[in-house]
Amino acid sequence: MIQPVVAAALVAALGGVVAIAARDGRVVALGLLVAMVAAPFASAPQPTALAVVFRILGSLLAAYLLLAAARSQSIESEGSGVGVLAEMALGAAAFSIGWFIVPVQPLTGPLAAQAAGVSLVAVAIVPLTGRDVLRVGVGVAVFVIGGSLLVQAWAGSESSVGQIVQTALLVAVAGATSLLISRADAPAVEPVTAAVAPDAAGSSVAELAAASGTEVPPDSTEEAASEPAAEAVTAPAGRGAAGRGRSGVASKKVAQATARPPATPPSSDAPPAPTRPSTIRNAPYRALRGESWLDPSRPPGGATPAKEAEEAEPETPQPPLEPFAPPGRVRRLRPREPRR
Amino acid sequence: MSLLVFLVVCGSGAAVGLAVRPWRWLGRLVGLACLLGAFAAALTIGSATSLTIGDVTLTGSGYSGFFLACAAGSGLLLCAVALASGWPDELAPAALASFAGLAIAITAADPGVALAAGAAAATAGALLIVRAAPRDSEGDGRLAEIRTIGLVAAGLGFAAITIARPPWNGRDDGPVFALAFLILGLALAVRSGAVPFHVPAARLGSTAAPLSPAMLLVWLPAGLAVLAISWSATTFGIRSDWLDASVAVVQVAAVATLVLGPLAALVHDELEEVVAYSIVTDAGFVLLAMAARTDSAAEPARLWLLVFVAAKTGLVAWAAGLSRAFGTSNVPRLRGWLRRTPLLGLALAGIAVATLGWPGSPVYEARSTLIRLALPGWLQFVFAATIVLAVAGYARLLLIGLGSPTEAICLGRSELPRWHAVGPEPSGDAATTAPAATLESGAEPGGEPAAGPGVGRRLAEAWRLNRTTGVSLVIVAGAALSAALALGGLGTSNASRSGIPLDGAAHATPTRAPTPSPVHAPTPTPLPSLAPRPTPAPSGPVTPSGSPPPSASPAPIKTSPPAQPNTD
Repeated sequence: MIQPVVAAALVAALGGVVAIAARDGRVVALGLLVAMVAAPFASAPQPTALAVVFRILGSLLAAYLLLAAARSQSIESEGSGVGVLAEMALGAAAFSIGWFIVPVQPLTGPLAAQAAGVSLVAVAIVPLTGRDVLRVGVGVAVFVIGGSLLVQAWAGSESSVGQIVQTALLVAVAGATSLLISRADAPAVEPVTAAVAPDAAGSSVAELAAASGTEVPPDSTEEAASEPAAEAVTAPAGRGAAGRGRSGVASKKVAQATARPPATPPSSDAPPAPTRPSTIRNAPYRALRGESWLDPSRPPGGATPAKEAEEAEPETPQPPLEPFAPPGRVRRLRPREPRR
Repeated sequence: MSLLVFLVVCGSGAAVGLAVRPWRWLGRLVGLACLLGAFAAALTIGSATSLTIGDVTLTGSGYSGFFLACAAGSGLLLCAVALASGWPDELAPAALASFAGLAIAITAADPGVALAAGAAAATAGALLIVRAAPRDSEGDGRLAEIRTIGLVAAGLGFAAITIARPPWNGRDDGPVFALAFLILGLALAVRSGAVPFHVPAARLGSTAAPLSPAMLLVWLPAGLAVLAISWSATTFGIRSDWLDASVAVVQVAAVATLVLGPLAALVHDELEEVVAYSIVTDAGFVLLAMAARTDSAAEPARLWLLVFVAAKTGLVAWAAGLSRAFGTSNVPRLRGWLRRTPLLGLALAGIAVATLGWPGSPVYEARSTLIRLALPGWLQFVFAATIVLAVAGYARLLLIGLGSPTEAICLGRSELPRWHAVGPEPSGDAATTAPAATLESGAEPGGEPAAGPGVGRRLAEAWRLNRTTGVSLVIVAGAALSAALALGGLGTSNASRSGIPLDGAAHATPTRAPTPSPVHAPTPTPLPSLAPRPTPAPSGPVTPSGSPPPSASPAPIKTSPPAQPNTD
């Protein structure tokens, strides 16, 4: 008759291997859920009811966070580079090694916890070196579970509060992973250049800000209006590349607008060329444009100087885009009287 | 009670702040109110503060209360600056969540709870990573952040295992502590952005939310450093070549950071990178405190961490205020900034004084003590080198500010009070030829402005016009506070003499030799390599906590903070 502690250790190790090796985000979340729930039961004495309830709720929350982020972004893990069977073999081998090695003597906790801990730590090492954020995050979570099992085996069962804090740590890791993968962007994003008329420039600023959940201060829009008639508004076209939240919608709108034919003919009385580069000072809006948070004239990486944009802008006036929103929602810009 | 209030305010504030993000003003209100409440609650945390949750006791100390108050106050200052320079929605919730985790970490008597809470607090930084750099896979901020989270969790988890002192099966347990020391030191170095892990820190401007360096490079590393310095007491009595090698690795990273960091700040032209490298440089002292492996380094390290939190937060706020005023963060384009914003210049001078001090001042002595204790004699020149390079960095910024103003400076906003919306200031030909437009909400293009503005509208307009002055005043206040902390004021010196509850567990010596297993009975029982601590034990009633008994549920290590009498 297999002991409950050994069964829990086996289930935890199996869940961790599944979470590491799976490609589908749902299977990853399920494997992590199983590992998180089973791990506390591999300790002796068994955890208290409060700790168990907290662990189950925390596990459900962590799995939901991962699942929601992976599903909403249609992200699938790259899975194991060596295949599921190889991962399972690696986990089984590490479990066996953990069963027979004696790093601590006498062992304070159950031997099965040590074996499961060694197994989970072993299978979590490789994903930590990868470049897939979901896999790295899941690897961190599995690593933490394995570490907690080793603590249970070597130093004895944790206190109830200790287990609750461990659960909070796992939820935090899962939450951080879900946040980071939800801000994923396409691997090769090409900038979409949209020509915006002076009035439409303000409209697009306001609409982009509204779509991204950011606020455009009055001075930002004011300075946007001082930009040239056919200013090149560059927005990343990749999903989520423009920022966070609903900013992906904004970039989609930009892409759709550029694909559509212009609704109005190009204006002939365009405002004069600018004498200074754009100094839009709203950082979230700069994030939409892919610029630095301190220097609006410098794109990330510092690849394109602001002077190039200045020189290139007035020469090729483009037809204006139709505004993204009904005119009633758009804050209008009025030219200011020159100061006397 | 005050500790409970702090935890409740921070925890609920983080949750509510994230939930109300769509309502921007409500989110700002919640963030500011909760930071203010947390600051007030932290001020009342002292050595008599205690909170029992289940079988774990959270014990306050003079230092933990001071540290939390300093962190919450810094967050409040930064959010006040953010009100005018661009409010990142995630900053206040992330700060509150990390403060809650750090509060548990530096007050918990159970080492497992303390270190796990520290690891959980470090995950809050993910909230501030906005996006990756799509054209540069090496600069993927998301990947760097999740790896940092994993490394911090691994380091603190391994530290929790070693501090429990299980009976390792072997004649020498030095390699175990050496590995734990190395992982924890690397985790601290990566989180701090120390050389050679500085690239993600330098690129935070393009991968993270505005003002995020304050949290990712200052608050979180400082909190983790408090834990790491306390944990390092477990290695004081160990004599092992492996441990010496690990310490050497940490020393090399610290020296490289102290020398190359200010050099990088000197040669970079982007303000965000200058600020990041300046912060990274000062984080090198934290690594030195860990590598010193003596109790004598704890007090100066704790004092330095308080100053580090206040001064470097002020530096981040200063950079944000300057960039916001002139619309650029390019240092050459900021030539002449000091002529238009002298208050910001005063703030920068205050930050420099708070960071460097002068001979005899507490912060200066703390820095020199850390280098003296952690580095061999032939490397003591590093202290003078850091001073010279840091002064050169601050002097460069100030000298550039004294130059003839560039176009961006002329078109920017000065600190002169303005009461009417009269358009751009007369500051050169560029201003007169610059195209100008004004925003009139709800008005059609070409329409007349709204007539008869009321008092509220006038006040709002006055605030909008003088926002630069308001921001500068807030930054000056923060710089003054950090200078006061650096000079030992506000009780900083007294607070630095006390520790955190984790100190007691780290100083505890094993009371039970590992029991030989029946199988290996012929071999003699290996003696524990943890020699009695050579330095004086903390005065508090430290409970001996060796390896937990093999049967039954082991009681968590409960110790009291090594409180020392106040002498000031």
